[in-house]
Amino acid sequence: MRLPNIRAVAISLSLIILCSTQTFSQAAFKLKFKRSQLYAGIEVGSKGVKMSVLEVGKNAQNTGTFNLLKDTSVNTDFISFNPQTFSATLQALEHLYVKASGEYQILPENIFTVVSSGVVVQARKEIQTPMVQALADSFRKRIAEPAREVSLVDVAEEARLSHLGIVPEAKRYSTFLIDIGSGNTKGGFFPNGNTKDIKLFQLTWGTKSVANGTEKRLEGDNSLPNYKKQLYRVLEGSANTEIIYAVNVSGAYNMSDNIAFSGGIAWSVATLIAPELADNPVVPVTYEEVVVFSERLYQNYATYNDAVLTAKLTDNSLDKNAVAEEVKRVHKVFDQKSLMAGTGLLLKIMRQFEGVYEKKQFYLVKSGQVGWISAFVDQHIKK
Amino acid sequence: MKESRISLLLLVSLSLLLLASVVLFIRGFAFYKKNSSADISQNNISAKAALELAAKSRDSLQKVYDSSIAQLNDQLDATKQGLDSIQENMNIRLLEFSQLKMEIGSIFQQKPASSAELAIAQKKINELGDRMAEWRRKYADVDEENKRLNRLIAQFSQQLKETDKGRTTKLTDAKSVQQNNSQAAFLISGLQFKAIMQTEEREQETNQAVQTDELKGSFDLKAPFAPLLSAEIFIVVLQPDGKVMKRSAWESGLFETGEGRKIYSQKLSIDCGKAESQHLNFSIAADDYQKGSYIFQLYHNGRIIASTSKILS
Repeated sequence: MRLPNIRAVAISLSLIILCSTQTFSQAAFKLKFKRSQLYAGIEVGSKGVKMSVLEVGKNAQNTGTFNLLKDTSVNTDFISFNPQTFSATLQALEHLYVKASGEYQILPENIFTVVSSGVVVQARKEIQTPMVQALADSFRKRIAEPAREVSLVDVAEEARLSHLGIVPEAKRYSTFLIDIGSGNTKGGFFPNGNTKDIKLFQLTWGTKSVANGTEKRLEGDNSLPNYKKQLYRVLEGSANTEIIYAVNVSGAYNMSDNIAFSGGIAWSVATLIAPELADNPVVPVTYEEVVVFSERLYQNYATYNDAVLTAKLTDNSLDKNAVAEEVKRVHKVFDQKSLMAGTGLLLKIMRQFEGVYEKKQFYLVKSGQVGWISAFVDQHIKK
Repeated sequence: MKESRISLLLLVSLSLLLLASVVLFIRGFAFYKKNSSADISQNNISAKAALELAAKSRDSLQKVYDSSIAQLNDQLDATKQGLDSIQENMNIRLLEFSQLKMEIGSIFQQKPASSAELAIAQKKINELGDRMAEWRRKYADVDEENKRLNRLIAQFSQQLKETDKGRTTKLTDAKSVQQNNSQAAFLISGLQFKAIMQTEEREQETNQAVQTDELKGSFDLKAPFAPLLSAEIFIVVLQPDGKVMKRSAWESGLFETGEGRKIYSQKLSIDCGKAESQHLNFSIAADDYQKGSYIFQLYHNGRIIASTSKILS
């Protein structure tokens, strides 16, 4: 007689525990979708270990919609390839994994771990690939998951995963994805109608390198007009030659209807041009809009202040505080000059696709850095 | 002796001839004198009569002249008012008339005027009369032309009024259509907005939020007033909480309206060159649907051109 009661109590307790973990997970983040799943991506990069937590809706692959909930990083400088940085990196990797699985209650199969192309390339150069392998093995032991996959991605694979994760299926073969980083720019597109072959695109110029090139030319005159003049010279000089050559060689102009830019500058420009679309991971823009933005950055930078931008919002359904916070975040990462440098580079690349007869649709992708996680999610769901 | 007798006879003959010449001279002188005084008295009588006649003639001519001038002035005034386009010609004519008038006037100023002057005056008055006749004829022509032009102007005015009336009617019709469609260049009809539940076999309309898999909209669009070959229509689907539903992050964006920038759910590119009506479909799917009223709006040029709603319970 007592056995059924015990069973009933056990089932009830299980249900309570399940519900409470789900509730905890929900409470840890402000979720956007009701029927969504949480995923985490932990990436060992050149500078450190980074974790991103994503909320992915059930229609994510059709709509390209995911919600970035958390972005955390620990600086470890792994590419120094010494025992201290190895240990620090392993420690950070374990810490973030435990946080994702424990604190955020994300299922282990929804946590993806990778070593970025920057580390893999550098390790090959310095013949340190065994150290990378050792890091993966040690990590598996620490978390007691011998079967855990720690993917070592190369440049092409990283570009492929980013494209798959960011660009929705409907635009997959007509979109050229360009990631403007701080030190370089890379991207690619699928020219052959399959996702195995990716045509890569690379530039040695990024937001920071353009800004550095400009700074070097200032010769003591740090005024904004001189910065603008020298920035123009940098962009019209070797950067321009390289951009024109790289775009022509890629063949992307004829193969792409859509040109999508990711990276920090794309996020910044998107946030300041369209604060209303703060929760959109992607913002469509025109070349002319970015030109106007660039001019205003120089002439009337104050108009991109969070107070000014939120005061202009007429849609009452928008969360003005959230918009203001996002705008403030942009200004913390980029000051006026670095925004000018990044926007200048963005415009230079956009210009190569701004035809007289054929207009391309430009997009600014805000969370490009987590695109690969979305690609892993897609692969995971298909399995 | 015989020679002396011949000389005496010759002398007597010469004397007689001389005497006869003197008598003839005297008689002739006397006759001349007599005729001369008769002519003078006769001339005195004829001049008086002629003066009276001339005075009468001058008065009548003056009357003709005055009436002609008055008539001419009246006609010129009337002509001057109505014929601006031939102002230059008229001025030349007026100058000629004024000159003629002055010449005739100066003749009548000279009192007493000689018959020759009167003849000149007569000639000039005739000339004035001829010119007046010519002027009347030309005036009549101009008047006729003026009437013809006025008729044409009236005809054109009427046509213009009719065209304006037609255009106003068309514009009014268009305006009323546009007002119905919020002042756009499109005619929207058959606007539908449904909540769809997808079963294994088919799609089914529902009113339940929990059963809804997607929202579908459709409408017929005609672009008879569109000034361009292509245009963009922005679809906005508002959820019960007032937020815009997005079909995809890649398909939504911002557009300008009279009330500021708005977020669109999807943008449609319309081919305005098609004469026939175009049937357009739209669908949007969400992970979850709230209970309440969903509003489906179509915008063009920043204005709502059609709107409908669907309530989900």
